[in-house]
Amino acid sequence: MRYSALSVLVNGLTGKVAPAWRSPDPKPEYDVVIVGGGGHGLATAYYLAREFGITNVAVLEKGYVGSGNIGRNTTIIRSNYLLPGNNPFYELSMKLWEGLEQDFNFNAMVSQRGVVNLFHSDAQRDAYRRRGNAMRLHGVDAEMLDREAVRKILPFLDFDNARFPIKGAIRQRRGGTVRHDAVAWGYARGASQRGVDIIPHCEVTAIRQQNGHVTEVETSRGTIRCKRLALATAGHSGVTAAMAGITLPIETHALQAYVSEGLKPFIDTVVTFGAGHFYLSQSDKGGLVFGGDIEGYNSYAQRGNLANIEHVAEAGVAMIPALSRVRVLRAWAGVMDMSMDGSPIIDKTHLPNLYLNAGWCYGGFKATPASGLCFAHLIATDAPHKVARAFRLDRFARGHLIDEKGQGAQPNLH
Amino acid sequence: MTSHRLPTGGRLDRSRSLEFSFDGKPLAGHPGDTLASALLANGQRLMARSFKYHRPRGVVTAGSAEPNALMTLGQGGRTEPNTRAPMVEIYQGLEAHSQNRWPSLTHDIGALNGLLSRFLGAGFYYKTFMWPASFWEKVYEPIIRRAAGLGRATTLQDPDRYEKTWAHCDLLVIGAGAAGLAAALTAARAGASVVLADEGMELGGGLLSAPATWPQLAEILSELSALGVRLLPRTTVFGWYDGNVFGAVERVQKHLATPSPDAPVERLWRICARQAVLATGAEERPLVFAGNDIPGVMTASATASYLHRQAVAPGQRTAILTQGVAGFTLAAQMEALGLEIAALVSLGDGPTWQGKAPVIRGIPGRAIGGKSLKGLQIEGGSRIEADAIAMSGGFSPVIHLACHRGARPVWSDARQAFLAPVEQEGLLIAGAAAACPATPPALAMAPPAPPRRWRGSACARNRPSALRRKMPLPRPRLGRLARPGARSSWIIKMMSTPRT
Repeated sequence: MRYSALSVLVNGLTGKVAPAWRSPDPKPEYDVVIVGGGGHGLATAYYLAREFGITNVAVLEKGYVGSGNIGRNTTIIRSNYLLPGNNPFYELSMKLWEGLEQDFNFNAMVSQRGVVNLFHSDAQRDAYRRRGNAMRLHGVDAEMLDREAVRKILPFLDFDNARFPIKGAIRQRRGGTVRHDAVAWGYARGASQRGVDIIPHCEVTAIRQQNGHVTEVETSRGTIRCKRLALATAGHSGVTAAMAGITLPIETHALQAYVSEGLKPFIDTVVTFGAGHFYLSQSDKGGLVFGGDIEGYNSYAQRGNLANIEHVAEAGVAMIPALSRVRVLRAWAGVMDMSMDGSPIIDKTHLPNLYLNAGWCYGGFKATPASGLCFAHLIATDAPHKVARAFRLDRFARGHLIDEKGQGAQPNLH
Repeated sequence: MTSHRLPTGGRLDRSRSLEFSFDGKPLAGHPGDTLASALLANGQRLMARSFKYHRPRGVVTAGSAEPNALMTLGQGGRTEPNTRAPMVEIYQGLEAHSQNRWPSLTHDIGALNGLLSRFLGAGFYYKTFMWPASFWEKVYEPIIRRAAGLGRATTLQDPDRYEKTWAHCDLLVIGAGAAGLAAALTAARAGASVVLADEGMELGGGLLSAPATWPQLAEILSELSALGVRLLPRTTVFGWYDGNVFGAVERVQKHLATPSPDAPVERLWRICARQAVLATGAEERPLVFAGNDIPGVMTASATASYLHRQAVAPGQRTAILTQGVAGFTLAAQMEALGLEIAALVSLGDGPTWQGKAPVIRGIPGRAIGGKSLKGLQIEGGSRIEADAIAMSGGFSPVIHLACHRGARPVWSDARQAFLAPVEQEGLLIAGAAAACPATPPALAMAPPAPPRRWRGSACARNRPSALRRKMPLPRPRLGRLARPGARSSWIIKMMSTPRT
């Protein structure tokens, strides 16, 4: 059934609501098996079906649909990237966000509330000015705000903080937030309607090969044969790739995120603190959603620790002193696939029918639509999408890094 | 007036009166009152509106699990939204305001949403508000955002000070009810350094609802002080982290009209504990029936707490709904206080009942009332006239912290509850949090372990040997921790019941 005001009315009158996607049992074989039923895996399945007509596809998810990072992030979207290897890709993602609701007939609440990145020093201002100019050269919107312009939008910031005075900001008005769960559900529904089998609680335990090709995967729900296998397993990329004998240039780290109790409208834009790595927005439900740095030690545990909670809270209060009277409702963690240069990998592997989508660090949510489209393109055509050509797995060996932050090969610092 | 103050009893200082206000209306209570109990004592049962349909809501619990009675306190930079009324101690000049209502709590336009409830089911907003495309950000979303949220946060600078500090101890006890006190006392007598934290304004947990135990409670607390145990009332342990680090927030001056500038209003504790005991008790479950959120309906343990701690009666005529014995116990206590019980509705087999109130075997169908409770319709049976309901749907152990690092709770058919995950290094579960059956009302302390030196222990001084006392408290079983490599002879081997 197509969703509309009419469908809501009919559901209300009949009291009947159809499930948003089918719950099939796994078939013995598929043309494409996608491992990971998060945002990227579901988007890949959706675009495989919608753009390339490949519908004999299964998405295998070890938990429930949306139980990974797609259901755990801070929901920010932006395309304010500096480097030519990144910018066109993230801008494509932004354009896909802009048409997403109409595209998959599901209200993902894409809300272009703007992203304001504060700066606190001359050096930081110059770096942001350079970034803004690079964005404009790529056709992306960017503007510089002086202190007074920031004060007009966000009067309650601590402009004269002794350590981190606010000097101004760079703003991307087209950035904003999206209702993250709805992204998973919208893609799942769209894919399922086109014939894709979405199979939750189905953990892949082994990848089998014959004559240098992947032939099947062992799962907690039996063996499934596949003509092509695609991995989109975020923080567990190292684990799934190892099943195929691949060691990835990736470390896994935990990242915590937080939400406050529900509040009446408090802040209507995304704002980031340039000095302490803190980012904050307000959800449609009223919670202040915020986050900060990764934990900094390697771990697959979806939990963080207290030191970082303090660090994030202190950064938040340094930026908005009034936050000290707001209570945190929940804190949680996800696991991040931190690559050596802080940029992702969408590429083939040494096994000709095994495809890899990994290394999103903690920027994977904003990339969901473009990641799905580019990965589907790669799986369907065996050639990279033109905006994702730089995301090669062998770039670390060849020296073609995409080090957006200029941090060097330190995954924990990206 | 429905709920009201009893002429005697409670842990109140009746000689002093504290003026406070609710939605601008001047009211008064006593030291020892929470905001919830003081409002009830003044007959104010309507305290809030629900998030979506703006249904009238009152207080349901007497503690931190309160889902309904959320309020905004204070003004200016001290404005604090979404504060749970049972967790707030009143002070002279406290200003409390209801939230999420317009134009007033009594007359709230938002309640019209309830008429459309069949069209506003879960997730309806994912299916609509998409046309025309530009309307989402321009029209729909701003309206939704204004309707959402509960309280309004201030944007003014907070004038108060906060601090953080560390504590290192042999044993952290979380929850100062009977089990927690027994654990802290045993460990302290054996010479361990102990921190005892409880989220309540007073230490004692469930004992505070049992006046007969108050003299012993005072004795235990003074002995704990004498043994050098760090007592932390008003302290919520909110997290359990790697390396047996616990996070806690102590509300140092949240209960004072004018916080002293020389002390923080709140203190963040990072507690590194060699061992911790989770003695957080159990939360009484509400029963499921239409209208179970009408002001005047609360849990039986909340009713008991308001009766005994603040001498507040929930109403003039109370109907008690119970699954098990808890409701019968409450009924006996209420009749002893001369309060009228409209009926005792038992959902299962109850104990023998010798009180005045009629016992009805049945299932609650529907509570009747709007902003205040009028009565109760029994499923397929009679209508009971009552202005208060105390309900007991069994107990769920409070095990959040035990699941904080990824372990999953375990369902027990026998206990009809989720239990804490088993055998986690560094954390023992005690008392009702472990779903221990009711224990004999005697606590014979085991002789303390032979003196031993605690490396880094701050309080290996007091080791009263051969102390034996009798106290009417439930008792955890004491003994050596039968685990290879266990170095702490004082650690309590909690009665772990066979899990089914």
